[in-house]
Amino acid sequence: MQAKLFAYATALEGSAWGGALLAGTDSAAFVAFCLLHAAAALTAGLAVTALLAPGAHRARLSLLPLAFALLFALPVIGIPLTLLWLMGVRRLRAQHRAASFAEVSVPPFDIHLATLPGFRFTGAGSILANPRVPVDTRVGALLALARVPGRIATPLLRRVLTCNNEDVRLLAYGLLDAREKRLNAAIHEALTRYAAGGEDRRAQAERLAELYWELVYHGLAVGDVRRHALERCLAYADEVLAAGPHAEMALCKARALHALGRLEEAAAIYRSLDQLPAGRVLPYLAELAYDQGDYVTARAMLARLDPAATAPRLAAVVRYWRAA
Amino acid sequence: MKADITLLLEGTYPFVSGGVSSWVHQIIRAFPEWRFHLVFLGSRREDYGPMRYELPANVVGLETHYLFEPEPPPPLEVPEPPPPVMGQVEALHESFLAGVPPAQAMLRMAAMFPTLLEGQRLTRDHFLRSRAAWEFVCNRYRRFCTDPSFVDYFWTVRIMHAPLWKLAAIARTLPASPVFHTISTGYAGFLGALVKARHGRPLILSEHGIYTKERKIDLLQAEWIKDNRNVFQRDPTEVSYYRSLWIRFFEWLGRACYDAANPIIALYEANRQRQIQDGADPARTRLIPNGVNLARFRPLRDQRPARVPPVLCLIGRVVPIKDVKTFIRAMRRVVNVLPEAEGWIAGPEDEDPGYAEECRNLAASLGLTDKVRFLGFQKVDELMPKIGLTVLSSISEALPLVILEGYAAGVPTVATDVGSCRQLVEGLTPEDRALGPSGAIVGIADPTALADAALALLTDEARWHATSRAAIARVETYYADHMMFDAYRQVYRQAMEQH
Repeated sequence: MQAKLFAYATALEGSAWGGALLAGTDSAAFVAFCLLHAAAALTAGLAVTALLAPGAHRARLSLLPLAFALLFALPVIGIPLTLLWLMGVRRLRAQHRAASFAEVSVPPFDIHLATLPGFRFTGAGSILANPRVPVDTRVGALLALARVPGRIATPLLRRVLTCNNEDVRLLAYGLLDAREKRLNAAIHEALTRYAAGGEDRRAQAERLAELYWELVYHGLAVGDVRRHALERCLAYADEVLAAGPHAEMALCKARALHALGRLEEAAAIYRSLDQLPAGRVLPYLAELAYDQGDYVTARAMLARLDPAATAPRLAAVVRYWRAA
Repeated sequence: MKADITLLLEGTYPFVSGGVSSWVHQIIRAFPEWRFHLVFLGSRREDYGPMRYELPANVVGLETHYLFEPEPPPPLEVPEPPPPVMGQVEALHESFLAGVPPAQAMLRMAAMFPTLLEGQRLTRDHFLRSRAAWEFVCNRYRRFCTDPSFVDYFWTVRIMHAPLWKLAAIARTLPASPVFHTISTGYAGFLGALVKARHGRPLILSEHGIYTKERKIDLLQAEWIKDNRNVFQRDPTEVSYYRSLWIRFFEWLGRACYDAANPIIALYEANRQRQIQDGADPARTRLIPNGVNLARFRPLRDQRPARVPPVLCLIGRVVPIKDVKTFIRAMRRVVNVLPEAEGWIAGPEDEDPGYAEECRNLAASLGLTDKVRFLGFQKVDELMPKIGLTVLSSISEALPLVILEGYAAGVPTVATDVGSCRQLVEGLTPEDRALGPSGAIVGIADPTALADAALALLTDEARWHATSRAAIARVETYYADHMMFDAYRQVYRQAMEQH
């Protein structure tokens, strides 16, 4: 984007000087030069403000007049100088980023290193990830995960599949397989009824879109299978939507598009979902803004949610972003 | 005709096809100089079809027993067992408690065997229906059961113990032979311990998978085992009482077999260590890896087409332990990248028809109906020249014969990191490793990794040929069947010479 703006600015500046040299010294030529030069300065100024973070609207508004004034006051050399300055800033930023931050990981919680008596087990994840924990304790943690919703349990179970203890590994596999088996059985049933046609067909398409989405949502489909499930979800959702408006299906479609990385299409649908309560759509819009790097919008979306009226996990996210 | 060796087989040869059954067939045919008597233990008659193998000429007897067939109605009046016998039962169960040395339980179990085998003083009806047995069950429920349902406890105890009397009855009538050889622990292994106690002849144990471990995993996930505790009584990290009762039951059956058997044979080191961990005496354990008939597979190498066929073949029974679904999911990616590729599933589907149907449904739901072919049981010799890779997506294996058969035919493999697969692909000793990889190893239930590993081999002819050469060299150097037969010939001779 910045490169394009600079190209336009250079072209405008060139036109301004070309026109001035060809037209001589009359006042009309001077006005034309001023207008073209001002347009070039404004375009280059926009390129400079694009350097700021996506959500920094206020800072961008303050910077634009300053950049414009500077570029207007420095004909010919203003744009090349700004370009050189920008390149320097970018290099400095990269160096600064590389030098100042090192990646560290959170220390694992190891109940067997704790010397204080009376420690209670906390997260199943830390128990499962720790090869020093006795096998029976890890089996217990796995059994506890059998009662936890799939979206939370699946990543933990999947991590255990590489465990070097076969008992733990096989049990984790069995738990994952049982979850996936239930969903696939439901998909098969819906596909059979869908194929049978009749009045039920639209309802089955709706169910299929939801079931394929469930596979993805619970982390049970990975890699190419995940992509396939999302594509099937979209196809069935489109079929339902083609027959008439359906807010829930539109939301399902938007989430599938979001998961496929088609963010603009997803955003357009999220924004059009006026029929649903704001609390249903805002979290997805916030997530989408976050995925786009637009943290100011993400915060603005979350600020519109009342933590007291949202589910506990989301409430924690809302509180965090409000405090940040 | 009197047999030289009695094979005790649970849920396998000759009614179920698969790796273990092929191995048993191989062993019987390898020793035409000895006569074999086969004892097949199954769950219910209706669970098995016709025989899958033509019995070799040196099989002189086959008896089939089903442990969970309906029983004739019990007598109206059940006599009470002699009090000392119930005391023996009580003492044996006390020695199963945590903290008591397992050796004590083994001694008490051995002391129970004559009572069980004699068949009069402690009958099945005594244990299941007498007042003394009722008191025994009630007493133990009060002392140990953490599940509130006595009804479930009562029936669990009955169902769990009932097959033991059937096994004792089999042992009573089983003809003596110089050697008894069980291919697993579990019920067959317990029968082995009983026949050893009855006839005093050596018992050999060859374990392919580890029975107790596989049972444990099944039981931990079994949906038929109830947990009747309410939300206040339940600790979600605790294995429910009946589940742990079943697991302990099979652990003790395994221990009884380990206590009676010598030698205790494993296919590879990790399984030998597991046997020791489960109670086997290290001094009695030994390793004898599987082997294949090289002469049978060598000519197949010349039948291969010039170009590597883009065919991935899973050869095995369509059962959950083979994780056929991961293979099907991997095919979604393989076909996305290499549209001409095909996935073949060559193996019988009748052992678990429900699972086979799930696999077919999965292939349909992934849009792979024309790319994943279910071939049913196939002759390996006919398949090998037509495929580019053998694929093993199993979640548990021992030392899979199918990989070795593929190697002998020059076909590399992509296998999951289970059992001895890594050893078969990457080599065990430094000399073995120097041969190079004969395929690729991936994690379990990881379709993307499986697909990528297969694609890397199928799309790179030079690499495929290098792995094929390593596969041939590896199988010819370390896994020829004559090595396995020599080892078993020695094991059988030593057992026969024992007096």
